[in-house]
Amino acid sequence: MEWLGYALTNIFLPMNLLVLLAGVAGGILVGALPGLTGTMAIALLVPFTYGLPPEAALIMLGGVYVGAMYGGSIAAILINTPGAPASIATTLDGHPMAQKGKAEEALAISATSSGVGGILGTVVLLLFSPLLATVSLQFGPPEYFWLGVLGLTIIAGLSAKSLPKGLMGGLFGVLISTIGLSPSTGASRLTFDVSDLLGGVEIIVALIGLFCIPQIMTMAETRGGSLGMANFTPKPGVSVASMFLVFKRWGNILRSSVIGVIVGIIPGAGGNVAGLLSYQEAVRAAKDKEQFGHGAVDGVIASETANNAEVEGSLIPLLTLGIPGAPQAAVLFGALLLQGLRPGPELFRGHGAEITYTFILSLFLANIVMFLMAFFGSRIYARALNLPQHLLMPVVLALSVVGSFAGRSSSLDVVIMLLLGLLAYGGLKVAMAPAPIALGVILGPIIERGLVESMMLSQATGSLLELFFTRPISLILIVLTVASAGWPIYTNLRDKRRAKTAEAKSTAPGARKPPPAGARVQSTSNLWIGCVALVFAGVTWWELQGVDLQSSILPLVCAALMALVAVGLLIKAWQLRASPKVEKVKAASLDSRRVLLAALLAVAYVLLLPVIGFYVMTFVVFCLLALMLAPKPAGLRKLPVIMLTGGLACLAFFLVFQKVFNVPFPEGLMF
Amino acid sequence: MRKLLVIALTACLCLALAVPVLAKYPSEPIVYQIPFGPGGQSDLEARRQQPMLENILGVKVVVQYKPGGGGSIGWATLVTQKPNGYFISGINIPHIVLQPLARGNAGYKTDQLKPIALFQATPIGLAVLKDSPFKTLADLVAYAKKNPAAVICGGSGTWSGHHIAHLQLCKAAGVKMTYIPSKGAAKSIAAFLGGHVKAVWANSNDLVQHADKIRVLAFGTKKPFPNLPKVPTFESLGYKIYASIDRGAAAPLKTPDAIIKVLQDAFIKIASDPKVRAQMERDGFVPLTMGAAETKAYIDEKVKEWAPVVKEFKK
Repeated sequence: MEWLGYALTNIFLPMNLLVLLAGVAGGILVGALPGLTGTMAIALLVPFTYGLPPEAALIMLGGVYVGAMYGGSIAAILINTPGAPASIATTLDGHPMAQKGKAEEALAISATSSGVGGILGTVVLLLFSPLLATVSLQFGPPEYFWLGVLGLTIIAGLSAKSLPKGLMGGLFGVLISTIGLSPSTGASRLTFDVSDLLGGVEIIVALIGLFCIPQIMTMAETRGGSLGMANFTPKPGVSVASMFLVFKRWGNILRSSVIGVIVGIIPGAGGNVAGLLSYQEAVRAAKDKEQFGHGAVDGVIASETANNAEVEGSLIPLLTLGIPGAPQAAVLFGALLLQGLRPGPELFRGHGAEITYTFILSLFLANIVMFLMAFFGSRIYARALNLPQHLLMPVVLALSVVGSFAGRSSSLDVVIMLLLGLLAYGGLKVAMAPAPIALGVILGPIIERGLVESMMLSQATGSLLELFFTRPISLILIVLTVASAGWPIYTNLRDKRRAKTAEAKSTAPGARKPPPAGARVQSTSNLWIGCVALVFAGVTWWELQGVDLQSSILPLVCAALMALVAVGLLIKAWQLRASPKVEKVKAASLDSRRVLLAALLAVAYVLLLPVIGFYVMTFVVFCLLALMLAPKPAGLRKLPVIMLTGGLACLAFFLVFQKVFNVPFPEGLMF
Repeated sequence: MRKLLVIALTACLCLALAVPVLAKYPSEPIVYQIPFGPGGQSDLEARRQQPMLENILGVKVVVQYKPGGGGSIGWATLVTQKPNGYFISGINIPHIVLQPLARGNAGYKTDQLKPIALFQATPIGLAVLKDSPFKTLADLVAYAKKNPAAVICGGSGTWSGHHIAHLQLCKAAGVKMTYIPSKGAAKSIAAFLGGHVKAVWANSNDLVQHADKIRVLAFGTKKPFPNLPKVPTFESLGYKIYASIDRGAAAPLKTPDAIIKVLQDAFIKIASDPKVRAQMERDGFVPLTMGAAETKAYIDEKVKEWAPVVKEFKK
């Protein structure tokens, strides 16, 4: 315990406190900006920390990791876009809360859950590291497969009303994730001979497109259109009340922390999986499952507690074995080596132990500082919602472009982002939510890795079935999968049967059942989804000709299932075709010319970007889009304000992205 | 007449602007592209070099990620950049040699990259867990002979250094073993330590990191590997396998030699720094100080060595 005194005196050195504050604040900012991830921020800081003493270096990087994990929830709640993939599950309920005018509550809940999750995670890291490190090694290929499948079953819970549509979305997401080089054989798949597509579709690029673009398009539908956002009015005391609300859900907190830590320990599954799995367990545990997706407090708690507990979980195998449990931890590994510290037993002996425990204990402080910044910032961040939406949305569009470009400095990524976004918007029009697609994109690689590696293993061991169904952890995961997929389907069927019997009693025998209201709309949307899915499935099948089995099995299975679901949807559409036309309430207010115009503007932006350059294009598009979205016929009166805001936005982009974070921008003829 | 004057003046102006650019390199920020994601070994090396490069060259060095396709997306980008010395990229051997050989279209050709220097090597070794019944490479080979395909070896990537070494060993020993590629070394090491594969192909730094839990059967070096001197080389056991991941930097093909020289000297100066060398050696890396010409010759030699191997196994 001699390290305790050393650690405590070190943490509270002014210099170390300063780097901790800077790290956490910087982390929150990076996390909140879609496209900039904690991994990137930590990597950017490594050369800087090279010159610091090891304690200060680790404290700072740990602070960034913790801060960025929370920061992602700000964007998730306010603009329905995960600032980092780890906060994807936060969008599901956090944003609906904001729509109801409860942005501050959502942010305070996220702050509290993140802080508590992080602190519980640190306790586990401090006390049980060596014990849990061995768990990380128990996960072999079959376990990864089942882990991914378990994650996908969230779709059943999310889209209880229309399982086929949710399933279709998930399959499409998995299909997208298989674009590029096969992880097992190196063969290229679904790249249509575009060599840039060999790199596949980055998760973050897909998320930005799927979530940001539909927002902008929806707002463009009508003049003065809004996203159904209630205005934010600060109410005294809501933050504190929200904080206590979190503490009352201690069951949820404990469960989510455990899930977060375990997922963190497993190499190859990061904060996004932690948040999703814990969200799913929260749904399962809740009595009233209907509230999820419409602003359930428990959803936000589950997601945010788990992803912050994942931070510490991912450090367990890193510090004890030298195996990073997450991409961020991998960068930390490098920072440790540069400081002359080698993970493993050395880190828990002599001077190494002093530094290690200083780092671990500093995580307590980092989580507390993060909580304070987040909690007291809630009201300030929430005010962003009161900015005029016609000025905010162009900024979101520009952020989407920068964010999708930043990761790989690729103009193709921006195009992919927009394509997926427009597709997701089309999906919304036929009642298909983007979340299942995002799930598929995130979990596809985990499923594929597990499936194909298991196939390869079985060639050596003999039986694939034995590998899949006889290992203990696999069995647990299978049981969980069946339970979480089965329950929503069962309740759905039960409700339908009850409705039917009730109906049968109320109507006279022999009378023809009247078609349900809205059946016509459903018929049309089924027709659309079915046809588009069949086209995708056909193209996939055609493109995979001549690719070996191991490389093509997952996309082929996806295409086959998509075709199957599509046929089902088409049959349903045929059955419903004759139902009487119902008045289209929503669709009437949609101005298709405006939608087309907004889409064209976005396409022009993305395509001209590499030619003309980022700043000029962003300024021009900002002004045009803002004029278009402005509430009343804007005329030129509003132009000065719009141009000023556009200019300021460009300046902010320059300062934050190019000066501070050194993120490359698309360069064109002009700048 | 006036027209001529304008033209002459413009020409003078252009020259005036152009001369300092030609005269002094470098005078603006240099983009140092890493064709992998943050946190990989190539990134770490670049992050170590970044402040030192800035110091030596006197300009800002911006590390930029371009991951995908096992590095090929980044190298395909490099070959389209202006050859003015302001865009360079990390390179990895064997990646830059094997990808164009194994894939029909990798987006670049090996000879489109102009090497600057090689500064680090990580020899590849084959290891088993401490409690494995295989005490020597001969044990493993004997078992594999009796049980075709039953020995499962992990490794990182397909048509990678690990994969090629695996194929070379199978061929040289006349055995059939199963190779399971992971995406990245961290995942294959985790699968190995968890007992999901029987043996693993790994880079020297990973083998040094986990030395207390594993037994390295052989290294693909010419001389014994200094950190684990008791481990035999494949050569000493009768297999002509020389396997290593070498890291360096390259520029677009037409970059002037004078510029390459400036960069080469900077990279070599860093790799010769005693502090850097000591750190590298302790963590299981081998510091290299191979200049542009030497690197080029080394790459050409590797192309000749591997072309028939890839051709043979790629049916």
